[in-house]
Amino acid sequence: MQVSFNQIEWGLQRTLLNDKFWAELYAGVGNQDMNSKFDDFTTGFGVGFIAFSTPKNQISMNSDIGIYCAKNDAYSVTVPFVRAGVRYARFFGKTGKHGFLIRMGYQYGKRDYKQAYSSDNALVSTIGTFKVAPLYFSIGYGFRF
Amino acid sequence: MVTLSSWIIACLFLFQSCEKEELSFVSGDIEIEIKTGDHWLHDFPLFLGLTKKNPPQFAIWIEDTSGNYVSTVFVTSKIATEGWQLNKGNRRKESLPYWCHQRGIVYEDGLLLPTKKHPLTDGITGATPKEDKIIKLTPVNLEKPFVIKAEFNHSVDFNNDYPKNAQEGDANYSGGAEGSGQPAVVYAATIYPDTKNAVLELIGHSSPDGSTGVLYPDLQTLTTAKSIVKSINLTIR
Repeated sequence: MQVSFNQIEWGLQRTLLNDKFWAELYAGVGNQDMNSKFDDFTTGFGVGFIAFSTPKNQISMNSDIGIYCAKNDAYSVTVPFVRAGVRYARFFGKTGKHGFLIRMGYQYGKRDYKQAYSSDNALVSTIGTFKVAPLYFSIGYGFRF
Repeated sequence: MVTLSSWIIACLFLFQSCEKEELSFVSGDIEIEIKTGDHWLHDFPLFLGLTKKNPPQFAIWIEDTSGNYVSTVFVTSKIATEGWQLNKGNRRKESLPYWCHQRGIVYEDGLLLPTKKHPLTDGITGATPKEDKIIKLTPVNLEKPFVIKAEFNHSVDFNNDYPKNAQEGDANYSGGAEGSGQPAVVYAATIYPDTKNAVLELIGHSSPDGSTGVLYPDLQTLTTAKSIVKSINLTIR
């Protein structure tokens, strides 16, 4: 589980090909649209490469693709995004099954949406743009099954 | 290698779906183009000396030539939904008072601003854009001439004439330390039957503390507020 000020994600990770590579599937909620409530949905898939590891520490580089679905009273929009970053994991406990995670990086996702309104006197329409917050920093907890 | 190829294909598929939306115009439509000025983004204090670049709050609406409110076109979401964060109950009546008074809808607390419980429904609401914005207006049952007006305001854009420490009751009081600073600025243009292009002119500023709907034509006390917008252009298709 990863938590930041604008997103909460739950993910499942497993090794891929060999011990150095891993893949992750995650889903979560976010508050990045204009109503600032945790009522947006996000999901994605990522792959990572363990660049450094000791029995207790691990540093990985990762890249993800995903979608962010922003929904509020004024508009709803689904934005695909890409993400690249670094993850530090510190394992603790006798068996090292528990982990403290810090993740940071850059993400890009942007999409236009149309809004329209009609009254007795006028029809109004405009284009808005939703951008996923470009920088992310989150902390989290992981459990190794 | 197969994994890498699949990854690239997935990325391309996802981003191909990011079509850019565009507005299409037909004869009689009015294109409203807001061009951002040098002070479109303003530093808003957060904590520990950190600031955030905030775009202004604004409203665009239609009036008849006698000054009677007809319809709202666009209002930024914080105003339209009482979407302020950590405002401690402060409804910020000084934000867009001229539009509020022209619209004239009184809410349950006696103020003229939409509330969380009763957000604005007459017009488009959206997050404040950080760049230029285009709005399409198609008049329906709207006889020319009519007037398009726009009001813009930044919070905490204090200057020498509208200082942070002005006291309630003073003519230049704008809501206190987290108040408006310089009052909202109001632009207007009249659309006549033969108008093809028009530019909204700066016609005055609103009540600094938001207590009245008076429009003040004297703009000498304003500094950065005059360059929130560069221009608002109307093109009649």
